[in-house]
Amino acid sequence: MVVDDNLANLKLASDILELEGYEVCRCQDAEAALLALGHFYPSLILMDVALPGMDGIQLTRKLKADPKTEKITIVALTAFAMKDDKDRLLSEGFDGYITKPIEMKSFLKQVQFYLKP
Amino acid sequence: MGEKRKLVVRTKDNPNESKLFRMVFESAPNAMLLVDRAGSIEIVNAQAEKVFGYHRDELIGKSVETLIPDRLGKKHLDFKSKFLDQPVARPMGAGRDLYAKKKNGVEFPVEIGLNPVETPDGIKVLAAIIDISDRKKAEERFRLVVESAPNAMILVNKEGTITLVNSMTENLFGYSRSEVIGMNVEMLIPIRYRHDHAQFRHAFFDKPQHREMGAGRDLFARRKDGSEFPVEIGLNPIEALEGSLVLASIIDITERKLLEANRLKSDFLANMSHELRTPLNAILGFSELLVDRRVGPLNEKQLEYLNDIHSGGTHLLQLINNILDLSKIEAGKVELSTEKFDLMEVVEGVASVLKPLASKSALTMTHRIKGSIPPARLDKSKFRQILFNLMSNAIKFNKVGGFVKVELEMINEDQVCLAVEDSGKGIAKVDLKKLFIPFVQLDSGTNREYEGSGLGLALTKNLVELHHGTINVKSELGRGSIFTVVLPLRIESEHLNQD
Repeated sequence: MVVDDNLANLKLASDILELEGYEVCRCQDAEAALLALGHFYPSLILMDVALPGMDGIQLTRKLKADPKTEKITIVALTAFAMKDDKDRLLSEGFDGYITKPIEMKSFLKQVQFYLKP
Repeated sequence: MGEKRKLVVRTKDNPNESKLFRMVFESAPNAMLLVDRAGSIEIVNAQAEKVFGYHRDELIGKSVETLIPDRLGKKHLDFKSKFLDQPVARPMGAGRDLYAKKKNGVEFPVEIGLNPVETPDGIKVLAAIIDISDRKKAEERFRLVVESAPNAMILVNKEGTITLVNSMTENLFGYSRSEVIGMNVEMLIPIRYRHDHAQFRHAFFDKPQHREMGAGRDLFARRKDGSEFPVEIGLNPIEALEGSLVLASIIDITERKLLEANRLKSDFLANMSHELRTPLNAILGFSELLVDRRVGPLNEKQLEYLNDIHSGGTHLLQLINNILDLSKIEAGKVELSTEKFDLMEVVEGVASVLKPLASKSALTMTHRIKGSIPPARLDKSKFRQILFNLMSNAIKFNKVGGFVKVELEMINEDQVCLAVEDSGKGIAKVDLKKLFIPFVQLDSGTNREYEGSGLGLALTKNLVELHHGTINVKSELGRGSIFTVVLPLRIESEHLNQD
């Protein structure tokens, strides 16, 4: 699952993943993600942090607090790329951290890494 | 004050008046004594018996010095004769610290009012005495509280005169208390605000009200040396015997202001970085996707243009990263994390990364150690960055078939010198000092032969200075350049004051 309010960036990450053969659920905000999670159980969520309304941190906290979704790996996919940002996000409950702009090869490598059981 | 008035007591002529006088005298709330010219006590009231602990029979006929501490007896005699030479009513509290003595020998602070009284037996002195021990104690407590306050505290009267300050005030303003007490409080205010302050002070005393710290104003104070600093001031009106006073507590908020400014700058940078990276993600990502021909074939021109878009985007990203690094260093937000490592190992690592770039221009790249170098204790990644910036510059600003030489040498026991020499076209003397200024790339404008952000050397210089090192350049047009960096070989964490 990819959650990003920026349509171009949502499309980029999703298209790259689909070209690699992954099945991708695209969500533009937390509300859409929560709705989709009602009938879709992703093995990985790539989550933008600065979402309108409920932001990526709040959504992650919510999902990590819910027994139905707590086991899903959630990785921040964010343009907050300062060193402090990484520490802050990991302490907020994200399982991983990928910065934008992404570079295709390393992006796919990281996705593979986080998908490993 | 100083008004001449004489109380006339006709004790013998008019028995009624005498009786009235006795009644008033007896029932006065203050201790009262009537003393004759010789200093003998003639009449004592009930309050005086209470205050001094004597029965009146024990006092009448005795010298008034009985009631004065021995240590002050001599002074009192002088004072008494002076008073009788020129008998003038003296009101209470006329500025002296006076003490009296009880029957049991205990001293206590008093206020004394004196009135010359004309009687048929000559001039006598009517003294009214108040025990002010409690008031003194309260005053002393107040002084102690003010003195021990963690803020600078200044007590000012209606006229703007400073009547009390604590030691924090001395520290903060650089004046000793004797230099400020009795002076106008406006001396502690920048000259340009003095006029307004006086008006503000008058307005305050017209309607004295407690005012909290930080009530929204930007306030400044002035030290003895004339320097100014931002302050926060809280005001407390105090009603005292000597009139309305205001107790001002003052804190220096220089540090807070700096932190605030730094925080605003950091927030701005973080936001800027985020906002610029977001669209770059699409630019770089989609161009890369196309260049990789993941979504279909491209003709040669399409491929070329897409590569241009991608390298333009990459350049922009590099710029953003450099600006952030530079700002973070300037904001003092970069910490060195030192570790023990071998400098030459890092040189070899960077050289192998840059080798492909060097061979593009057929450059010979060499590196060597002069003498021997003990293991260093520096921030390894920042040392690598310094080296990478200098070496990639040496490659970039070079000529085909030229050379890049890197040399390491101890220049004394604890300083190491790194020299990076190139065979490029060199730098004109006038340009040398512009070299380390952000965004100034020599050649800028008309003929940008070389691609670069114009930030690399500014950043390098900052990184070197972060290590308490220096960077210099020697160059002549047509003869290449040598950049030399001198760093301490070891930096211990406690030498760092960046936080």
